[in-house]
Amino acid sequence: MTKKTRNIIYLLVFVLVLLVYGLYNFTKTKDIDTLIAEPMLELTAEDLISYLELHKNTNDKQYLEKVIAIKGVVKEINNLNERHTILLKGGKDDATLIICDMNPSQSIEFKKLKPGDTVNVKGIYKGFLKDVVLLNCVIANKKTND
Amino acid sequence: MIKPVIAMLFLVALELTSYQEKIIARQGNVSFFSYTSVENIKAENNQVLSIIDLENSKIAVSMLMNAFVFEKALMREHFNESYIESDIYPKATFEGEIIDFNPLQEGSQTKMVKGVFTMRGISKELEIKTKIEKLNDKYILSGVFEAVVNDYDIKIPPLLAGNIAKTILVNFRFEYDPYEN
Repeated sequence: MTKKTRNIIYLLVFVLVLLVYGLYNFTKTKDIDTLIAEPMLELTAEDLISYLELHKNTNDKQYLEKVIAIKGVVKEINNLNERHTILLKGGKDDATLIICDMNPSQSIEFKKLKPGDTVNVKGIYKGFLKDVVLLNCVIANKKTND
Repeated sequence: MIKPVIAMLFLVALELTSYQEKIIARQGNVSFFSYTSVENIKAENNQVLSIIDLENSKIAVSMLMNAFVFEKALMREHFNESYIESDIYPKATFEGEIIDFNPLQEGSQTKMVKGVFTMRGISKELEIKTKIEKLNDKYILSGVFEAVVNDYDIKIPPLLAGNIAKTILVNFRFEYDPYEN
């Protein structure tokens, strides 16, 4: 095998490895980065719950797994299960809430919150049981009652 | 003579009404573990809903399958798209009864919870040993049970069969507050 042939083989192997690596990265499943993702939908907590209650029997999945932004009033903040969670008021008599499981990067913002604050929260919509579930939430901006 | 009787009746009535009829856990924790020599898989869901009717000891649990959080995004994708098919079966539920439950007993008690667990449209009877703790108005239920993958018709490709345990260990912990609605 000449030196030239050997170099060509090395080059081909290198290009092949590069291609496989590129393909792997291209097809690799990644979590949605809610910090930079543009929300598909922006609305108030009340409007979201009204919409979901209206469509709960229609198997409406258009917002499932999508980033949505919600403006609402904080009912409760807690650290249950060692997770930072915000509960937003929404439904009639607070029967239905919006549960926002916070992205760990939001620790500082989370600690500044208190019940009664109005916040804009962005997160991945996971579905609706008795309450609306949003994961990986970030605070878009915060308006306090102070 | 009448006064002590009235006082006693009042105390009994107070005792009987000293707990809410229903309690709710909106942020219940359910986690599962699959241990194999190839890899360990862990996922948890922190938004599991559960309601207990203290009058008849009935318990209901409901969870969104796509709300399980995994270490790796690819694991989550396989779980939702290939194994659980969460777009077709978005929820898993449990409906049952806490046997011989005394809702007035402060402190800790261990009871059997008997009921039907439904996942992927398949229902199985389960009996789960559960620790129940009560402190004032707050109740905490916790326990662990095993779920057999084959029972729920979960199809695992032969290539990945070694990566997923045949029996999955499931842990749960629910903190209940009075249900005011």
